[in-house]
Amino acid sequence: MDPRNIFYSVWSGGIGALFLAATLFGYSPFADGGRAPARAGIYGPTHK
Amino acid sequence: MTGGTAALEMEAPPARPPAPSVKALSCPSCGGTINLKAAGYTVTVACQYCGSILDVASPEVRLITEYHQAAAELEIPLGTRGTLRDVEWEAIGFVRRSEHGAYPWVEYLLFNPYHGYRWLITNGRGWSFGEMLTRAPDWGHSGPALDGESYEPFFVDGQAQVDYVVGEFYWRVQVGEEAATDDYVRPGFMLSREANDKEVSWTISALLKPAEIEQAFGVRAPRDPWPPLPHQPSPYRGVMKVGARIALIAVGVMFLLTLLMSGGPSLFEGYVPVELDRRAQNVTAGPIEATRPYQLISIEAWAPNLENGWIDLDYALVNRATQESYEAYGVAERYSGRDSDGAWSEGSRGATTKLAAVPRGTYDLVVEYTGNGWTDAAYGSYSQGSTLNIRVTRASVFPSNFVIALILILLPLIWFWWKHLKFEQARQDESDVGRTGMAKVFTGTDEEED
Repeated sequence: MDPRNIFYSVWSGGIGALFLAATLFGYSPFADGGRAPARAGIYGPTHK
Repeated sequence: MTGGTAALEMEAPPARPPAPSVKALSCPSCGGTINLKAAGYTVTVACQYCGSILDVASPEVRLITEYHQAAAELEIPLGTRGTLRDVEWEAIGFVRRSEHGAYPWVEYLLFNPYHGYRWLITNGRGWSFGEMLTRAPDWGHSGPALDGESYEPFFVDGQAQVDYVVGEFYWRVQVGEEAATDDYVRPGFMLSREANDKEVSWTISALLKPAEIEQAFGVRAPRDPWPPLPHQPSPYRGVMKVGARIALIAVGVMFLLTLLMSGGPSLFEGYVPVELDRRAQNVTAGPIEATRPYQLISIEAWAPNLENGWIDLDYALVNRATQESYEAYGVAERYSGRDSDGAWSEGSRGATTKLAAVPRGTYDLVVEYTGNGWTDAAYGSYSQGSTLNIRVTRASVFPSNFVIALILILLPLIWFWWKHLKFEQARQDESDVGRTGMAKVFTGTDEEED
């Protein structure tokens, strides 16, 4: 097998693994929101 | 340019002729002893000592041309034997040719008593192994076809001449001899047509790998000639073919994963009334059970009666146990009206907001929402109120993740394709017919001006 195809197989496998990890972790760099800084003792809306 | 062979005055010998005898001659010019390797077939021989051209067809050897020029220092000395494609060949003749002095190339005549004659052709940038055809190729719509393979025109209306010759040949070769040439190519092969006023001959040449010629005759050939040879296959074609299969498998697996993990369960559904009065209101929805170690939480808000207004949505998904908060903002907006072009509308009455990597736990969703009416006179009236439906689901796959992965997987393939394109453009730029196909389509305007 051409070394470039070996590299490409590894590359594609790596991307696939990252995609699987992101799916299992529920992660996306384009998510609308994420974890906010912790505010001890406050319950309810923590925005604004 | 790598030209075709020049076998012009005799028909090709049978594929498996009887083994000819070896014969020794004495050069009438210098007295040197010449061993004829293919006595019985050889018509002329150039003396290896003084370069004189001798007629050996008749029993009495005649001097055709006295050629007192020092014999060329050949890359493959005549008499050298080498095994090429499982057959042992002996180099018996050498001819240097050109297009009236331009684009020189050389051809070695190889001989094997059981396989006949072949040619080794080089222009210094690569070697080809040629065999004269005993039949003319078929003619397709764009060029000749041989054994089901089509060939594209590359060099047309050439005029090749013999500049130098030494060794023995099966036709009366002489310096200055000319032939009209056309060359056609497909990856790895060149089909050459040569014609003079007596006959037309066709030769098929296979491009040799540098290792092949090196092992056979000990000649070093350039590894990556640039610009590429006319019939040099693109080194990226095979990589792209295998790469496309790899990409297909990778994308297929990701797509399958997306399908299997999409459509998560609904964790909460409810609705609240909302007025477009710019008054902030809030509601807490829950409990929302997130059962996986980590998950993507999707919040869909939908106001079916919203018109010419928008609803600001501030979300806070708060873990009941840890008070950790996951926050996001969304907006549902819908506008419509009528102008000189007629009725128009824009925006969406719904908004989907996604929270990433929410850990397992019990949550409350705190929604602060503010309804706003659009009061610009140019627009129509806004709706006074609506119902705001809220649905929380556990989604699994971000479409953006799939798109990013797809781009990353295709990126190397695109690079290979770009390199292939550049290779093909450089190769076809050597052609008399110029660029064709994709190489032409992707020619920039700057290049066209050049």
